[in-house]
Amino acid sequence: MNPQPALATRRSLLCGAGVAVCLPWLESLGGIAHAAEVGREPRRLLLICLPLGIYRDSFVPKQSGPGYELTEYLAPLAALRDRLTIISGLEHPGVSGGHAAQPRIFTGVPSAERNRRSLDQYVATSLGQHTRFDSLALSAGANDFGWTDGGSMVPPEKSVADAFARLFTEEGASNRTKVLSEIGRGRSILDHVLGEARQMQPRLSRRDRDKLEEYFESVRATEKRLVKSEEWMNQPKPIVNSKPPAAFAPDEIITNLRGVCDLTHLAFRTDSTRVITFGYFRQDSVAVPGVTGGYHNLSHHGQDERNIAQLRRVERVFFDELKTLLSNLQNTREGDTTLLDRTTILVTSNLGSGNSHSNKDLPVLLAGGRFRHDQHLTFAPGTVPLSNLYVSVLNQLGFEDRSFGTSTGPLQGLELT
Amino acid sequence: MIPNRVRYIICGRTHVAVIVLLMWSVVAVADDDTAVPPAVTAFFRSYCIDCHGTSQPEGDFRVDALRISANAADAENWQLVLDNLQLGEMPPRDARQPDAAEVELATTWIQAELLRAAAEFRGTGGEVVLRRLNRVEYVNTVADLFDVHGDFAAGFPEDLREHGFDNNGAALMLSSAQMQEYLQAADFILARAIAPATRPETKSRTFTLHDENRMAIDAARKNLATRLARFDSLTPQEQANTRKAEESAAAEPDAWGYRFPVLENGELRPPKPADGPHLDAVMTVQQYFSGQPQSHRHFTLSRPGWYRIKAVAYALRNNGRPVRLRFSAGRPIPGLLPKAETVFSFTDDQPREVEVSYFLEPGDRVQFTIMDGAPHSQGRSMIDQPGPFIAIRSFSIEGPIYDSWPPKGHHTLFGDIDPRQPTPEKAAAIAARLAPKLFRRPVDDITVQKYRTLFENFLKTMKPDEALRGMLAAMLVSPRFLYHEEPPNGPDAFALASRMSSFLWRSAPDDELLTAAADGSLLDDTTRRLQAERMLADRRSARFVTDFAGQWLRIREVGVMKANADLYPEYDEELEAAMRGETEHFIAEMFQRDLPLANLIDSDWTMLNERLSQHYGIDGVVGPDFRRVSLDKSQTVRGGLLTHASIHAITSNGTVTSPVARGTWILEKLLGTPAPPPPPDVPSIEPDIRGATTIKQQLAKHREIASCASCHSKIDPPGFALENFDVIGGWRTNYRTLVEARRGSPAKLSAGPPVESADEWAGMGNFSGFQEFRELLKKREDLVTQNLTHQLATFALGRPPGFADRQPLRDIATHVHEKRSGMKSLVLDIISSSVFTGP
Repeated sequence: MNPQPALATRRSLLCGAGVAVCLPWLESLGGIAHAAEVGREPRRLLLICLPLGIYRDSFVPKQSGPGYELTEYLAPLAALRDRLTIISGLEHPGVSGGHAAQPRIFTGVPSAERNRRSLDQYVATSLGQHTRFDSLALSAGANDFGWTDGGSMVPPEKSVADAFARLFTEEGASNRTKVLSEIGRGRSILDHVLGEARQMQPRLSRRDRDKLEEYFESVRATEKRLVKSEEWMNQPKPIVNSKPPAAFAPDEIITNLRGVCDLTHLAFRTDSTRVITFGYFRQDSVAVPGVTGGYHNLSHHGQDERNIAQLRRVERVFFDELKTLLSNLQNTREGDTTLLDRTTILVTSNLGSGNSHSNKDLPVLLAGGRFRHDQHLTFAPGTVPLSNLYVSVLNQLGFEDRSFGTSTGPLQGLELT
Repeated sequence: MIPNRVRYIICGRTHVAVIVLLMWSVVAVADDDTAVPPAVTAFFRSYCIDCHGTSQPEGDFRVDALRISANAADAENWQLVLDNLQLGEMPPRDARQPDAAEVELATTWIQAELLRAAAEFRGTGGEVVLRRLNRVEYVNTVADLFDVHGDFAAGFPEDLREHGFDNNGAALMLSSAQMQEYLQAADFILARAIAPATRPETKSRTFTLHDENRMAIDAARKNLATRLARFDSLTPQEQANTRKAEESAAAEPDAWGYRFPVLENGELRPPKPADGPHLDAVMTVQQYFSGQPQSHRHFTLSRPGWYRIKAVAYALRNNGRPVRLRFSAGRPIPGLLPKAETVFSFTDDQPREVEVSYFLEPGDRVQFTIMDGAPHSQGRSMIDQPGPFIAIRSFSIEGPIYDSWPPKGHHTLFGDIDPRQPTPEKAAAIAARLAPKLFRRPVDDITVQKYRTLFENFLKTMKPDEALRGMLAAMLVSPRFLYHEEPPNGPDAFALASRMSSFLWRSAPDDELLTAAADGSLLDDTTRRLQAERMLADRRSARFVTDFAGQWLRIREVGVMKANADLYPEYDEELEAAMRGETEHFIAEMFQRDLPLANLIDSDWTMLNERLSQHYGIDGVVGPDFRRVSLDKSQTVRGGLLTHASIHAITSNGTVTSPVARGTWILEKLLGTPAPPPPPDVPSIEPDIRGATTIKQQLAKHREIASCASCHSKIDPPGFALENFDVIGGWRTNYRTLVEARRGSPAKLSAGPPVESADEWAGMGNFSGFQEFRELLKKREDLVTQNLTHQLATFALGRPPGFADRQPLRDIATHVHEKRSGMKSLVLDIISSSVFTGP
């Protein structure tokens, strides 16, 4: 059995004048259980992908190094520039196929191979040990970024409102008994089918037996999850005085993004999870003022300036919301530092250019954590794998891994403070 | 024997796995092996070895290092050599050419060797890997067994597509996320399938547009009252509007705010409070600001189930043209597609009743829309609309409707056993009855006893019916339900039944198929063929046709990339659906009538409805239903898959067409000779629609680069042949561009540079445009047939055909080709062949 999560000694350390100002919903701080200050300093990871690319001229600074001039998209982030780094020239070697590269953005597995092991799922196995949820896959329109070691996609939360409820809505006492008994029932069912799978084994060919291993692994992992949720049933859920986010509506890309960003902040603040991913995407029309075209169509702008103008509106929405999220993280104190200092945020895209569908020279914004920021790191396209950055992120999170995916080492030029 | 040392190099250029063997090879050591005739050795020495020899081999492909019958991978590479020689693509045109007799000699030898190797490899490669039900199969199985419908599988992780299809055993993964989804889905399915103690009442409600009018009038009054109450806080514009509304309301006290004019003595007039079902009212515009007529205002849908929805309606002011009424059902969430939709068309003023059956859940509503006429009121009154109109006598909704009681799902679960107050004996009897259906093969007593024990364990902490549900839930997450179990030496009769039903129905076998498995008759090729014919005649086979065509031809993707609305204002959802409709109906027609496969390349017929025929400029097709239409080939270019708008749409990005995407589609999907992926060091083309350069010019530059040329000289020409078809499949002679008369003024469509579609197809000849290309393509019907056979076999087995399957599949293809039969014969031949019964 898993060791009991270290919750008994939790006490709320959330304080600081900035919090109430920047978190209008946070009227009461009482009762927020927090694992953050127990044991090691918590480290968190947020991965964001914009699957349709990020319009280069509005994003990538013209100058490299420190003191680069802020571009249109980065302008809203001016106050945070010492907490972020822009990186250009990276790509995943062997990953191609335009949109087909989307599920590989955080795995780096070459297109010729079956996709597996994304950065978020890999770190969640250990960062997730002390939180209610190992990781959260949210979606502002897309998220096929999380992949297990076995090669299965981690489906995103169907709705941000449901995710909110799972994180913060306390089960009533009778419901609690019901959920507990359901967990017990689930475990009995899994025990039974595991037995059935064992009986099946000798009737199968070697190849099929190998394949059936996935079933055993999935059942065992599910049992573990049930055990974990049973343990956490006895811990009160954090109390947050904020309204649940609005239901997901495909067109409402701003509302959707805001809901996801708010939940991300809330989940990190209450230490409900330490690993989150989400994507900002919409295939068709978007409810953004001044935009009539479909988002995907606009990304194929064909250099037409009307298309580009509309595309920039849609993408500016993202950077405005990113600014709010980063500010919220910076204004939330945890222990003797801020959430932003304990959270690594990585924003990127599987497309270097939405127009050509090229998977090269991918845009990257890295924020937070303990990196030495405030620069534009440039690499000659095609020379350095994006996974090198993932190795640096892993090391910064406390992992000693020397490689990830197709990496050739940590990213040169990116240092810790 | 010394084991072969095999080294695979995945190279950037061609992604061909190159095998360097430290053994004799066809060229280098030919002298001491009599198996290779000297003439063959001489052929490779003369024409191949210069480029594909030891030093810096072209495409990293070494002919001297290949050895037939060493292993399956080697054989695959020999196949590549054979294909290239037969297609005349090797040796390259700028090199010395062998004469036909020399090529024949070499290819005959390779073919013979490949045959010999095939026999050797049989059984060692290309076996079916334990297949999990994919999402489609899971949903269909649940629908067929339990008549349960809903979005219970919406959260399943997406099934990966490998070798073109999402039912590939090796690629169908399982994870704990999916396992949790299965647990949840099991509870959902059982909650829906197990019938309540008493049969829910079937309710019905008839409503008219008069009811809708009364609601609209009330709502308008309330709205006005609210505005008047807070008049001072309104903006001056709002105040002015409010005053205007107040005047209109006073002028028309009974009817102000109504939506549907009433038809009396052939005239339209505003409604009166006393109007009722004795008079019909009329839908005049497509979109009402306050919404279309909807069922939920009149009928509370409290139980999931089947509902019958009817309308009594007729056409008005339509000048003999059909007017269409659409029923659409689902949740009213912006951007969410309806879960069901039906279009009826009315041509005269004789009232006619139309009806549909939808599976609806609480929260769903049915909405009625007139699809022709003015899009919305456009500032005119509802009476002053131009028409055409639809007059409505009544709408009605009735449900939930049960064909039998207890309903189907309940019966599948329990048969005649009364599940109330279950005892361990009863639970065991239920498990014994249900397991063979769920697991698609018989179960032994031990299995049943274990389920009984599980029930007894649950009984310690749960009520009996909860314990029973727990046991049933376990059956639904059992590996025996989720996987297709097959014996190690190859499929037995039950495994064949499952293979057949998942192939042709995308679902579980029915009782008849299971019976044919139980008596072993399914092992017989003829019985299997007969069963397959029966299955193809069943309506469930429509799932196979749609699923197969959707994935093979990729027409599932129609509508993923919408056409740019500025460039293609004529594009709408209706056209989009019609595009997919043509290809689906075309393939279905090919299947049903077993038409010769030459029709895939060119046909003198196609499947059209009115919307698509307008798009194609073909007259005489009236109404929304698809039907077979004969084509006057002197008048239209249409005919064959390559003229389908669906294909043009999925190979475009909504704004511009891509000859590369289209060429790739033709090579991959039609000819089955895919080109390798691009090398890593070449930049992509940045599309530029500002009109300065055409795609021809941009790609010509591309083809000047040597590393691109070798592949793009294969890919681009077939793509250019389709260049006269625009993004949505319309025929064009010039590109469309948007031009602003003055800077900042609205852009207008205008004719851009002319389309160039002439090119040279390597080894096949020159063509001046699409029609000539299609003539050239007819010479490769053999490739199309082989490819389709390969695709069908891949879908049938959930894996790509292995090396050993090649010859039997080639025989099937040849047989069908010679007999001029079609897709149905292909399917039946595959099912009755050794390929289908292989491990």
